[in-house]
Amino acid sequence: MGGTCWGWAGSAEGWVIGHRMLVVVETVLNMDDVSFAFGTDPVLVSVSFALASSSFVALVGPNGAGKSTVVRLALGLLRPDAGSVTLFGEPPTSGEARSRLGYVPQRPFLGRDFPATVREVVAAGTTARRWWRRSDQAMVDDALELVDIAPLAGARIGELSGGQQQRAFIAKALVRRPELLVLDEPVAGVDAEQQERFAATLGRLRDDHGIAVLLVSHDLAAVESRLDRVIVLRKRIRFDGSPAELSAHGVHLGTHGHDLPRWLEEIA
Amino acid sequence: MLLSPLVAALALPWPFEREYLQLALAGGVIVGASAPIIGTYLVQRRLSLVGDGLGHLAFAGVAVGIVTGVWPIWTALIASVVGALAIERLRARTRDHGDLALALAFYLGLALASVVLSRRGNVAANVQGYLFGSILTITRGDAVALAVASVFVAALLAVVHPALFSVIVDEDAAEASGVPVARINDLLMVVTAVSIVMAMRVVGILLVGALMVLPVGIAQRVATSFRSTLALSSALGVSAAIVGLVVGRVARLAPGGTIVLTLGALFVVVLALEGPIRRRRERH
Repeated sequence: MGGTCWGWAGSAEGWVIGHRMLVVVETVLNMDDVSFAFGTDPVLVSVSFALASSSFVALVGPNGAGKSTVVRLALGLLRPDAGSVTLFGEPPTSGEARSRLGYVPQRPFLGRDFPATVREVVAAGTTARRWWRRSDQAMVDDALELVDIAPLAGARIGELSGGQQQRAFIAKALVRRPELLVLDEPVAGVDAEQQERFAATLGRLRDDHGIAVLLVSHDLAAVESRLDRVIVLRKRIRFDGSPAELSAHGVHLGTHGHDLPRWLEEIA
Repeated sequence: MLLSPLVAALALPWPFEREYLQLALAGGVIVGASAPIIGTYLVQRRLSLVGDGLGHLAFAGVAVGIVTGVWPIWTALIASVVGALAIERLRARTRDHGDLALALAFYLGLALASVVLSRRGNVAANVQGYLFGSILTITRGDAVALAVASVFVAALLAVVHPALFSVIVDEDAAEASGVPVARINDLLMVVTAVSIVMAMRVVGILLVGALMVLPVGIAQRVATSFRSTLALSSALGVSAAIVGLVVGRVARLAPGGTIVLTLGALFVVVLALEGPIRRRRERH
């Protein structure tokens, strides 16, 4: 991506003018004063934040903080009780908005016996509103290349390691070339080396492809150095800033220890 | 009425030299090919027992047909399609208790059938054909109906496959990208209901589920891709139907049960060989 780079859709939020580059920072996801409750049990209370294009943002919080609800609202699988959610300036259920979002689930529910190849699973990501269409194999190849699992295309998905499966699901989410990638706690059960690789992949998606990444996770050690922003959620937004600002609170995401989970439990 | 004169006119060698045996073969091959294809989707959706649940509801339909004098295939079809949609609704609402919806279908189906049949005196002989299959009494009309229904099922699945597969892999992601998940799930259930009623004629209500699920259980242990699992399970269904008919004739055994036992035996063999197969595949 060189020269003049234009992104011009949805609601433009500002201008960042660099040396030779003119970039329109677009708001890809906007939550405005969103509240949500399951019955009488409030899950989210006036949550507001906006996600800019080409940004790498982590959403953290203790169990039951409402992280998955934020994700489901962003995907249009839930509607807010109050406030508004927009994806690329449109309701999250609009076909146009949906085609620009990729989603990596918490834990794919595929058993070891699931009879499908990596290629078939990734190709399933091309299925959208026009669901009867066959998948575009060139796009599938590109997505497999992007996450470095092209040699595994013909392997059975259940025979992959946790980290490889995770990358297959990222490829599935990337296959339609989204501008926003939402990952719901995808690092569970993946070893340190694979986590580092995972972090590098996400960083590259932002840097080389301008994709905005919203990562919901407990474990941010591997991604810390690449994050632009951390949002801490516990029904309300408790913190919203850079990792450096968070460490000013005495909370470290990195290898310094496990202060983040402890701190998350402490904030009332 | 294209197929029926054709089937009857064939001069096949033993053990399919008689017309009724040829019709049985046609029925067995059609159902043996189509039931496992639907089963492949059901097993991956963890709905292995849905065929049995719908079979029991179809039995209630059969009972209504016997008592009212309507062709029991029609009443079975209505009962299983309505039941299929009801089960899917209940399953969607009580996500974690999908098996409860199935249990309800099992018991309601049987209870309803027994109550309806009690209005009529002795119907045991009538009912047995539906419970355990009566492949040897398949008529030309039945064979044509089976062929038409199987073409319908295959065409529908071919069109819906991309959506169905994406729902199987990740339902949330499919919905988030605009796939009409609820309608696709409904469709799978309706196709299942139709194929249950088709298979009822061949292996009977009590063994319908086996013909849908056992070939898949075998195929998915051997095949690598979803596509090859579909093809292999279908081929296994056809082979079992042929073997079941031949063995059944030679040994004078009930063909429906013999078909299912053939699949069961193969399943056990594959389970026993699974270790060596997997090790060999991992070496390559």
